[in-house]
Amino acid sequence: MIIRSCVLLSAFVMFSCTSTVAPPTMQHYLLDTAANHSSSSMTSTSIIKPGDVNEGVRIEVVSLPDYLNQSSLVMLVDEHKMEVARFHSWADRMDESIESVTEYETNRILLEGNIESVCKLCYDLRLSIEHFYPTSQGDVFLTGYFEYTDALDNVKRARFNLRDEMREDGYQEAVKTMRRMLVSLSEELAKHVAASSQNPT
Amino acid sequence: MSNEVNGADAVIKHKTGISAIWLLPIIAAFIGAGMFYQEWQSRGQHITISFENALGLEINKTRIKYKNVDIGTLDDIEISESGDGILAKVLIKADMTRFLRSDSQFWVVRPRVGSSGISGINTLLSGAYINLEVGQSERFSTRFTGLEIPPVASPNAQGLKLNLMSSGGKLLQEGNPVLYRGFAVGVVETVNFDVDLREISYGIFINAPYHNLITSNTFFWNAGGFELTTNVEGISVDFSSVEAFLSGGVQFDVPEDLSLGERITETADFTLYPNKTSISEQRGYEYLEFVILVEDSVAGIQIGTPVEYRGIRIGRVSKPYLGFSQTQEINPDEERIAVVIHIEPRRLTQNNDYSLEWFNNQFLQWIRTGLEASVVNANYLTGAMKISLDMNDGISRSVERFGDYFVIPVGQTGFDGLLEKTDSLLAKLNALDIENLIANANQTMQSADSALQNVDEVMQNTNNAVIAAQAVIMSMEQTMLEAQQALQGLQPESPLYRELQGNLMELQKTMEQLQPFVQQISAKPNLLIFGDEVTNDIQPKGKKSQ
Repeated sequence: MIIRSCVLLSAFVMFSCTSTVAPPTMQHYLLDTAANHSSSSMTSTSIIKPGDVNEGVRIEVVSLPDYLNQSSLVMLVDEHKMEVARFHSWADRMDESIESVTEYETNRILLEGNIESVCKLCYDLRLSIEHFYPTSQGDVFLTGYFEYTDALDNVKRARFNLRDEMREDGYQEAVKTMRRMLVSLSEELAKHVAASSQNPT
Repeated sequence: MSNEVNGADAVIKHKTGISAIWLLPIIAAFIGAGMFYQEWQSRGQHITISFENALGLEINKTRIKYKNVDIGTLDDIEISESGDGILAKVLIKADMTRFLRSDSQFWVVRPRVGSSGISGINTLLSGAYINLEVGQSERFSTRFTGLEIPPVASPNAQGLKLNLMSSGGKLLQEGNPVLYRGFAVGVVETVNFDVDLREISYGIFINAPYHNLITSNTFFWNAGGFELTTNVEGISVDFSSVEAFLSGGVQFDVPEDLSLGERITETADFTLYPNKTSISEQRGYEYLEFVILVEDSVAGIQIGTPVEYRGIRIGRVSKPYLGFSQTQEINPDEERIAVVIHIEPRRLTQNNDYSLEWFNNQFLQWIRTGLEASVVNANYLTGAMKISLDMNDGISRSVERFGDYFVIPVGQTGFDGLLEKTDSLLAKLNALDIENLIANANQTMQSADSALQNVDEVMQNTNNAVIAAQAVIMSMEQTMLEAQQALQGLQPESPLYRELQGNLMELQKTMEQLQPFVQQISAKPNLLIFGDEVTNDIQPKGKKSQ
């Protein structure tokens, strides 16, 4: 009787220690997908031709906040409190993704606007991101500044402060919104480049 | 009737001689004498054996044995007159006295634990005994000096005794095996430290018939432990035997590049090398002696430092510095450090087709046509240096002498040369005095209108400045080119740099992924056993759902 009780007690303890809840699966996100490029009305060959590699706007992300230099997605949950996700991760480096999206979108906008002269000027834009995150309330912020050298070798700097809202819940929607904001940023960049090329003085 | 006594006179007979009864004691005396003689004859021979102490010896109990047969008994133990030992009085049986030869050896057999194992266990119950090993001398002796430790090799064993001199390496023990290609052919008999030579002297015995393997070109090395070598085929581990690996041993062989040499038949001295590899590095070769005069530090150079020609070992450093007095005698004004090196041509050729004289002439010819030496880093971890020889084409020079030595010139290569050229470049730039030059030119140009006769001078000054600046720029270009070559392995465009950067980024990414896990483990160490309450991430909410 005592042995049976001990066995039952041991089994109870062992089962108590065993977790039966399956852990959430890891989710990975791409900020810039191939579908984003191919879904555009422009084909890739019309944007960047092999011989025109140096003739578009080139964008370099020169600085990123530390929370974007790591793989986990983040979210602002309070005024100064950042939540780092454990099961939602970036699939690619953020500096390269931002460069890819903004460069592609800026050149696409410039080309669609028939601003051909810009292709002769070969602008180099240096992008510094200060903040780029969603909040728990569904807002997404993108702030920072960019610098470029115009045709007269003048270094120009312009700030940007963008805000957008998530339409759905979840990190996936946050990523979509973040990419949409990079498109908005690209429009800003294209405006400055176009204005600078049309009025170099 | 008469009562008359018929008395008759007694007849007295005088006996002559000794009574026969006395024969009995005489016979008894003879018998006793015979018995005494017989006892004296059979009692044996008293001998004296000296030992350091009487550990394990008991009077009238300790036996003397030869081949495990009792041949005597310990009669008495006395302290020697000097008091530094004991004298064991031993009675040897009469019929065994023929073994008391002057070179016979006695030692006490008692339990011993040594590197070669445990011996004398049987004496734990029976008690210690004195063992005899019979010598070969014809002389009879009754006084012997006992051995404190049993002889490793039998005194009568046929073979060859040798002395090995070692200046370091793993210490050997008496009883360690002597191996030939892994096969035990002898034993280490004695271990002594020679205070005068500051060397360890090992007495070894090679059993017959293996003593015929010992020749003048035989080299001995310490076979203790194992030797790890790496080559293009991978890593190889070499050890002679399990016994030698655990407790040490000596191995010998004739190097492949040498002939067998003359057979050694008498006791001789050999060098014991720390390992097999060191034989080719340290063994004595015929050599040519040269000196190199080093301007920089000689730190990292020591006796035996390799001398290489384009990576091929051809010699060694004999003296890292010649010494103050000797340098002063040769040239008091010499500020460079004289490093004496031995060029050993026999490392390159296994036969004697080329004489040492031929090599000497050849090296002198190479020095004339550009042979240079440089001190280069041999090991970045230890800071060890080596001497590297190389040909600097396009040079023709005479051979200098430093005392009795021929001098191999020191060339400028690697970083040393680069630094020197950079210094030289800076010195040239400083010497240019560009500011004054420009000021002078400006001043001259300003006064050119009023002094046209100075035009030629102005042009000359300007021309000189341009030529000097051009020379400096060309020198700078050359230096930068060399710097580029020297640092090619670490340039951002180089594959090594890219690979290193990629690896570091990968490592950083992994560390970032591990960071939350490590933090969790730190906060809750039993997480690995009991798991954690897994909760999904809180996700941002869209505006529509609010």
